[in-house]
Amino acid sequence: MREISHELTTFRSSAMLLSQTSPRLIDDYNGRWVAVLDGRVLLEAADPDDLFARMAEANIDSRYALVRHIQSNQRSLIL
Amino acid sequence: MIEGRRGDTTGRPYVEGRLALPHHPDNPYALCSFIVDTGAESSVLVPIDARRMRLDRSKLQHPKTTLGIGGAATGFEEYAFIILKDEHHRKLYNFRIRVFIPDETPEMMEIDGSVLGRDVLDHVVLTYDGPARRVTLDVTDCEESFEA
Repeated sequence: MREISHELTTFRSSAMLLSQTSPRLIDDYNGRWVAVLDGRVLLEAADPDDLFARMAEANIDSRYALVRHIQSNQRSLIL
Repeated sequence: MIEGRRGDTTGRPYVEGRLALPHHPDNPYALCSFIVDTGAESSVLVPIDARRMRLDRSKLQHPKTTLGIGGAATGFEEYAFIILKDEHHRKLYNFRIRVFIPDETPEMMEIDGSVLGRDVLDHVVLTYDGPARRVTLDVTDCEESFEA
């Protein structure tokens, strides 16, 4: 459980990158798919298939990475 | 108190957690940013997170269809653990639920976070402070909790 606790703390720190208003990811990655790990954008790609392929090539464990499509013209999400 | 966050561009309320499928033969898991959704009856593992956890869909066993604002969605329902962390009180809470896993479609791939539904939210006091862009969860009851 101690390991899971540490993983969650680290993951939340990375996720905060997607909530910060300065600098904003949208300014540098608009329209791109990004993989965030350890508090920074490690990889970017035009589509998710390419991003997952690059993560595999780079031996990045996707279970611990945030994957997001950064876009200014988000479609409305009504669940 | 579990601290959530608001997405910068999406404005959606999120909380981070760990989702595992203990009855799946591969015992897959991933850390996830969950969209907090009081309108969802059950939690959802979206395709982007299913891919991140390297889920082998051929081993899913319980087909299910759900209804949302966009219509019916087909997929599977599986037994799952969702662990949330209270950083302030240094506690982990494990929620045993049945998660919906929709089929992978291009539209579903655009949904950027799995969903934390009322199967978990019924066990917390949820505070959503729009002006302050703050989301917090206080767990009131949970079958399992651990010191973090």
